[in-house]
Amino acid sequence: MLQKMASAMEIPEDLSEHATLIEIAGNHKIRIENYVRMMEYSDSRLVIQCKCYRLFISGNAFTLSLFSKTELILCGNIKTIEFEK
Amino acid sequence: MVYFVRWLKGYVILWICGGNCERFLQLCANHSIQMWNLRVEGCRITFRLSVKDYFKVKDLRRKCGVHLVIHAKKGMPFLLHYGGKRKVFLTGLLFCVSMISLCSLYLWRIELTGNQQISRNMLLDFLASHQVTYGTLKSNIDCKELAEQIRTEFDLVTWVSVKLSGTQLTIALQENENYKNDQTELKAQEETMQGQDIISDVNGRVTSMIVKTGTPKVSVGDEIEEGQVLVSGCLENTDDYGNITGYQYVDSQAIIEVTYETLYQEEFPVVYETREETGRKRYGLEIELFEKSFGIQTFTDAYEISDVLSRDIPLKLFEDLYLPITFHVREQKEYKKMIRSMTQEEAEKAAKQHLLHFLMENEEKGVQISEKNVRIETGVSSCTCTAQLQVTRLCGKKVYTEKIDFQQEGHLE
Repeated sequence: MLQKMASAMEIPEDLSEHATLIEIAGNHKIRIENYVRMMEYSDSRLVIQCKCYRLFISGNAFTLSLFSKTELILCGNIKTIEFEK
Repeated sequence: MVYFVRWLKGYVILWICGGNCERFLQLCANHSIQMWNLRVEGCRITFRLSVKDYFKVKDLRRKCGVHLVIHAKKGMPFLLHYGGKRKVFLTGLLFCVSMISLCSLYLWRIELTGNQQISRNMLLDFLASHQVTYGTLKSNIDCKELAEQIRTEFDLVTWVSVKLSGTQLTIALQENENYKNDQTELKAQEETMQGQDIISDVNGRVTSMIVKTGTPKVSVGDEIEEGQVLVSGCLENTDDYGNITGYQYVDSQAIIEVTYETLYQEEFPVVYETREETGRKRYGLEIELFEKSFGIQTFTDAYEISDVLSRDIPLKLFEDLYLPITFHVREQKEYKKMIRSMTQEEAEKAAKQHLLHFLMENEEKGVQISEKNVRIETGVSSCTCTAQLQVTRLCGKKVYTEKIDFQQEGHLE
């Protein structure tokens, strides 16, 4: 019911359902909002637990240029992004 | 901007290792602690944290069992703390910054471009009379008004731009190149009312004559003398019977070419004094501070014969923030007097060069020299060059026409 109302009112899902918002700039920067927690972090791999799935990012020379409660920005050479239910 | 705010508030660079680092970072995030530049370096993670948040992470550290090390402290609060220990340095720094800020409120350089007929000194005097000079407060200068005043004061200025950038006032102007000609034309028009004759300024023979206005008094082939009227500015008005009814005065205009012979003679000494560099140099530096000079080396007891080359280096920050300090670097070169004597060939060469220079100068003035018999005689002390020249050139000098009283003339008749 709530989903239908939000859809009818054209409210973005990241606001109505707290869906994870992922913004990718080329292959060197990724911004993730509304994540649950960080599971693993190394200079070649980042694992993020989201609301409904788990996100695997691999590559090299990773740096978290921002890490806060609602948002994280990862910089580096991103090679793969995988989603796991 | 974000980086500047972080620097202003101060931050620490931390190392964490051991225990569960990811959990520690997550706990920090959950406690609304913002971290940035997280990097994995071997077995440790480096990150940055604001000073305020650092005190919050201490308790969280214990929960996760991580080892926390402060690697560096950055930002304004730490710099002030560092400066507090070095009071003289900090005072000097503050004094320097405040002096530069203070100096930037005043005018320290005036740049003039495009002025050819109006000299730099004239413009500077004009600016000084309007309270715009070195050291004037910039807020007192109204560029628009100043441009208007320059246009009003100098008639020959057709366009002017006044720009104040940094501590420099730039005045770019354009002058009316035909201003002198316009003035001359106006003068000529006034003179026309009076009438002008053309008289000869040389003794010779008329070879060509084209009269535009006026009454010709000589013709081609006539021998003329200096001061003789060639074209009169007085025109006779006659009636149908040829009787003179009056006189009209005009500005005579004519192109008259005259040929005459002249003697060129030049004598110059073959023994002459010259200067040669000795190779000795000395340098001096003068510092001009607020229009007062302080010389480190002013060359008061310098070499007997010397040349001084001066180079001005104004001190400036960035593009146009000139400061009231100018360095005058002076280079002095020593010379010695040498007495030299020319050989006969050298003297002849010099005499020919002088004559050639004389001929070229005359050619530029439109003088044609058709015949020349050059004779060079070199003596012990001097060299004489004589040449018989046949010169053809434009002739004529304007004088006011002597007015004829028509009624008086009638009585005489």
